[in-house]
Amino acid sequence: MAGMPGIDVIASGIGLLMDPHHLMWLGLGMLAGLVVGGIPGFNDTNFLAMMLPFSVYLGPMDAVVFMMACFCSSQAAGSLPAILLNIPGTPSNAPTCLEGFRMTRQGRAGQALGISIMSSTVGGLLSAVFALVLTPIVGVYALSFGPAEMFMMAVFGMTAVGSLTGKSVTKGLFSSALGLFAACVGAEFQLGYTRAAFGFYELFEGFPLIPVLLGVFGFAELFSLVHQDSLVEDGRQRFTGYKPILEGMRESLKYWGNMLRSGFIGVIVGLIPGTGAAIATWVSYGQAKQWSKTPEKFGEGHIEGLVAADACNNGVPGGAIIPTVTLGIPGSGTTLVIMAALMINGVTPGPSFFGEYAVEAYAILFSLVVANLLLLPIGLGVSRIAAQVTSVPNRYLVPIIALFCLVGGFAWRQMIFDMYLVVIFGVIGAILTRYGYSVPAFLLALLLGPLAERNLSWALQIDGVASFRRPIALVILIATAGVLLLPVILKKMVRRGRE
Amino acid sequence: MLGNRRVNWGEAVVPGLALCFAMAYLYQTWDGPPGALYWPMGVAGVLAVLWIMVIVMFVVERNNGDKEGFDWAAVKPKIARPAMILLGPAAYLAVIPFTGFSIGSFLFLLLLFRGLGGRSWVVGIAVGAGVTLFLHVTLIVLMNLSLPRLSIGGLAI
Repeated sequence: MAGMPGIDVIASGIGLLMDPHHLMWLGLGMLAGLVVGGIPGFNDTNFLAMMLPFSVYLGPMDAVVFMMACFCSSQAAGSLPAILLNIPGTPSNAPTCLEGFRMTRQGRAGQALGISIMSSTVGGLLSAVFALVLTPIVGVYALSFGPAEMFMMAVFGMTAVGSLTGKSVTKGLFSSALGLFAACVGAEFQLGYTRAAFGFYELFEGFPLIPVLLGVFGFAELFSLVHQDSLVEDGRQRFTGYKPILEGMRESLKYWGNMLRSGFIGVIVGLIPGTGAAIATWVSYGQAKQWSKTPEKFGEGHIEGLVAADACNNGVPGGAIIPTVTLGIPGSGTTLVIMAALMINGVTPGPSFFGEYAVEAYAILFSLVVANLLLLPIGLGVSRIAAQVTSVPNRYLVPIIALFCLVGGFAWRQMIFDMYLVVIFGVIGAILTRYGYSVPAFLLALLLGPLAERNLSWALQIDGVASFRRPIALVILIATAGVLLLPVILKKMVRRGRE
Repeated sequence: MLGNRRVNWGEAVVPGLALCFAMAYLYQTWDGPPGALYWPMGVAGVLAVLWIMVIVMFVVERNNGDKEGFDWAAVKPKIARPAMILLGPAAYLAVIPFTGFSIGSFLFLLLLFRGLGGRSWVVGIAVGAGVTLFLHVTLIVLMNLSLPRLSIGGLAI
């Protein structure tokens, strides 16, 4: 293929990365990512933005390798508090809470951690391979995503809500509508009119995602934990040693199809600028439920849901880096900071990047592979230590979790107001859960609401309804319809087969 | 009017909250430019339809005669601890502007440990101080977050 670099260029890129100096920064990036991902509310974007001034002293290669490793490991590390404490380390870990924390309550924390590590590694490796192979080819197509396609993507994401609704579809849909309505708070994007900020300037941009997440997941759970003596439910055993983690790793490999599909979803959603891992993991979780033979077990500590969430989560970095380096369009906040680090050092990502810096580009992409390979041994060691939290009595753990949720809510925008939001949304989350409403559906709608509104408006202004007849928009529409119909068709086929 | 149906007040909590929120939203935006309100009004329409469905399906339910009377004595012990989880953070957020983050957090942890059944003061003080120190070093010293601080003799904690 014309324009494709030769094998010697790729080999030179790998050789460049193997320089001990670059490898050292890769290792430091991984450690920093594990810490940053494990602190709720303090995500990798915040941390890397703080590191940006230092990138001048590191130089472009070291800075970007450090940042890529931090990006990868923070995605995986966010699963630790999600599984052990029901606090999503990053917004994309919210689906991990649903299955992982339930497994911890059942005394299966070790297995959950093992599944998380293996799924993250496989999803990450898949995305790294995709990035290596397809970056020069696929990046161009990301430009084809206009407002109509973005709106259809949001609608596609919303179809996942249908599969997340739990026992009552009506209550699930009501939760979605409530989330969408809550997303209407804050400044309208075209006229700048502030819609129902209730007099609080802190709500001018709408409800901030991280305090809401920490509230409806971490804080809400405290209202039930407070009645029990330990994280692990009575009569269940806590785990010791590496055996349960290794068993979890082995168990997760049985779901290799789910793992690959979820990693692929992560790559594709990560590829589309302006989406990100928080949306990708919900889409993947919903898909896993729709393809599952046992969808009724989702939300009760089901391995398939955990595999889908974590494989997809680590699939995103590989996808997100593709438009960043090939088009100069960052796919997420973190890749925006990575792009800024390159530009501060005098390197401009874009269509000419692969022509001018082919060796460095492949070294950066290959750092994704190395980071994900290192994730397995490092994750194993860190999980073993972190899991000790399950042996702490709830009378000590509950106040500590409450404080971490409050502080995590503050860390993002540094506003005391956000700490109040954590408490308020904690109560709302507890009430929604108590009466069988769907917290995930509420959250997903809150997340997708502004994206859907903005892109629908733009699409209608650009070309009216005709915008939605563009091929990619139609393909997503068909996929959405297929997503809704496929489980029904499959169930019928299975029933016929059994008969 | 309800015939042999009764109102399940527990199920009415979420629709009630949604109604209050919608009313407050509409009150706040009633004089807003129409162009800014097309989307919220569309969403509100969908919400209204689903609200009616929830009311019909869950809030107003068939009376099958097995309704039990409200027993405050049975509920009271179940409420005490969740109330602590709600009121503790509220009090913490009210006092940290005056006590500073570190002292406020230490007191918050210590009092909640005791409130939730931690018997040993020594363990409470040790764990509370350890967690507070970790957060102080991580958030204030290393990350330089602008958490409220109390100045004592030139030392901001």
